[in-house]
Amino acid sequence: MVPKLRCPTCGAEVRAHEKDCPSCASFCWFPNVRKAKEPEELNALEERYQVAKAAALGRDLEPTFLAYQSALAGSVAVICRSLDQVKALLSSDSAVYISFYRQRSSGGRRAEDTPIETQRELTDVRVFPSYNHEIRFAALSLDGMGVLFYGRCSLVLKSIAIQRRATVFWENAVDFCNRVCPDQTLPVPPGYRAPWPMRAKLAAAKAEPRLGRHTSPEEFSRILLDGNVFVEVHIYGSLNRNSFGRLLISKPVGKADHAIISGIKDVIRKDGLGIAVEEYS
Amino acid sequence: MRAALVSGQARVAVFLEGSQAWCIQPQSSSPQPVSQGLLPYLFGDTASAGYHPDATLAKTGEALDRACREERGLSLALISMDPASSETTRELADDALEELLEHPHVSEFIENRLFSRCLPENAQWHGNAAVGGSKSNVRLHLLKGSVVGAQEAIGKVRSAWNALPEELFGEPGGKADFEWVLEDTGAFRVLAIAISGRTTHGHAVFAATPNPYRKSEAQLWLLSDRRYQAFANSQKILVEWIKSIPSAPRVSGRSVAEDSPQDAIGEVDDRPVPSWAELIERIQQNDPDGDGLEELYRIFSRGVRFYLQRQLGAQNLNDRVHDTFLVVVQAIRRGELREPDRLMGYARTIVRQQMAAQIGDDVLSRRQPDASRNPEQAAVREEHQQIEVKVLKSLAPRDREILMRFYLWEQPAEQICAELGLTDTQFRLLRSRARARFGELCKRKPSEMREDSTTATVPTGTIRRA
Repeated sequence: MVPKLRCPTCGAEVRAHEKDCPSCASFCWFPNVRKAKEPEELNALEERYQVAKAAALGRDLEPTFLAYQSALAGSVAVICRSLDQVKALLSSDSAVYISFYRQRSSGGRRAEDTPIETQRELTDVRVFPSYNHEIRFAALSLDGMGVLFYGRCSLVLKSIAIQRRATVFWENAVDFCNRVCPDQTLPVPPGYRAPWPMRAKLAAAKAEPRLGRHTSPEEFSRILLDGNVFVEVHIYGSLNRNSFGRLLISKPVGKADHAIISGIKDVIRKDGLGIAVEEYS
Repeated sequence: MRAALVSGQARVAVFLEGSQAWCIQPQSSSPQPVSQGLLPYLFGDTASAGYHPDATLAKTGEALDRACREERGLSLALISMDPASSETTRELADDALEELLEHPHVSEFIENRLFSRCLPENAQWHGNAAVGGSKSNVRLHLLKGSVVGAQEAIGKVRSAWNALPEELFGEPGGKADFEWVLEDTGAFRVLAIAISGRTTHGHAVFAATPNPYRKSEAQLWLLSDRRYQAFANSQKILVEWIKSIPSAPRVSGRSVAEDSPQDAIGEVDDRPVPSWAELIERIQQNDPDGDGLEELYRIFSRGVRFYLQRQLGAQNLNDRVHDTFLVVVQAIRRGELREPDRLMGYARTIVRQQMAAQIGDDVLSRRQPDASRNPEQAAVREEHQQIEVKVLKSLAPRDREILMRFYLWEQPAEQICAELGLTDTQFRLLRSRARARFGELCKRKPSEMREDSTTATVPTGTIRRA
């Protein structure tokens, strides 16, 4: 039984989804972070981590395990988008984009009316009850590359923009719920989420079965994030163009790509966004 | 269950079959299986994806290519006008956009959005930028010119929309939802063009012709568009909106009322107009003086002309309008139009079918190699020519004469009219009818043809004239 949270300022009860005290409006911390810091969650995570570490020791892999965990201390949160979406995101203060760029589909029925969207809602409500609309998603990465299904451009979030409000989750939340706890009436089991500073522990516990005697540090990135398999980052609240520190773009193909990348560099330079642009092949 | 989610903004599509899902990206050679868990988040915001029920894998790929081209075109247009873009970037964007504008659907997608609200004051397309730039980017040059030139009209259409009260839309958010559909389907563009007296970039090359689309016809087309009818009060909203556009030419003593095509038509000129049911009845009864046909033609031709010109260009435009008109009239006379109020919707379907057929013919003719190089094809061609001659001989003398004079001897329409004592309209109708008859007979078996004994010698040659 999780004890009721009290506002540190006025002592009023604060519900699980509330960020601010409903009585005195004092900041009571981010609900996803509070949830990850609950003793039940922390104890379960610690247990899972110790089991993984013991398993690595048993396989004579403790140095690799610790090296992987150590590398994870420098892991970053990344979101992937298409070139066009990145340009629009970085130009979000531009009157031109405010006027004409809107995230709406062309043709066909709107996807938000489909069963896929319903599944998303069901999962989000379970994992982030009553505050699901405040959560933004990213993937944990070692090399700055994100989940490329989402787009060819990887936007790396600045640590300072998220470190107080981000948590990490074992895997994609929908996949996790479908696999581990498909019964919608049951709570999500503890020990699969962690506050941002403890992300290395969670990711190392998850990766232990994939580490081998010959695993090299160069392979760590691929172990952490491989196609559909990754550690999901949950960020409370909004992100904007000032939240990003790096942008990784695949080499342009054709005139249009060149034009858009050039436009992205223009807006970064003119608006002083300080985002480092790197091209990969 | 088979379906697809397609997003041009995210440049990704998902094909769903049962519990399996495949991710399709423009740059990847083959679809990749994707976890169900990723699907909800794949598009950033699912509102940016279109849902296509009953899609196939091939159709999903096509839909993605199309959506990507459209969104990419819009992105480039925004970069082109964005004051944050450097000159180099703008040039790159202009060149890339020029290529994409080759696709009519890309032009339409961009125009639908750029005509829906005024350009920001600092947009680079204002002033000299619109007429400057590389002279080789003709399509873009025309697009910029048409958008910049229509700003006043766009402002009026937008202001009239913004002024509509929320209560008119029945439910919270109803106005925003309807607005999005109107933007996406080009309603703002159609109205802005109608009141500006300008053409869109696709037609700007025909700037010498008068405005092809007046407000009254625009209203008629919007009212008959089924995509809007899913919204509560759609007819009333559209009428209220169009009525309140400041420059609306109002007919004295008459107001635009809900569900009243008569009034929408009535704004074309001051002549009174019958109801659809009445008009169709007159056409079905073959009214001897032809007033019904003339009335229908007057209502019908402007909108159809506009649409066909937009999609297929000016070549053979009059023929296409008349061909379409004939198909509609024949359908009316055969009693195939069961709901008179759907007349304009039906006409649009016919126009689209004609357009698809024309595009198919064009593609086929481009793919066919020169028949003379292939003996087998040359033989087939010769046989076709023999059939065509036979068919020509079987036509009524006046139909045959018109076709031969116009298509084979390439006499100008004015000369034919003068020598046969026809008005221009009569000539066009007769020619369209004769051509339709000719096409119909060509499809029949040779044994079913009758040969006219009065026929003079018919030279061989393909019946095709631009």
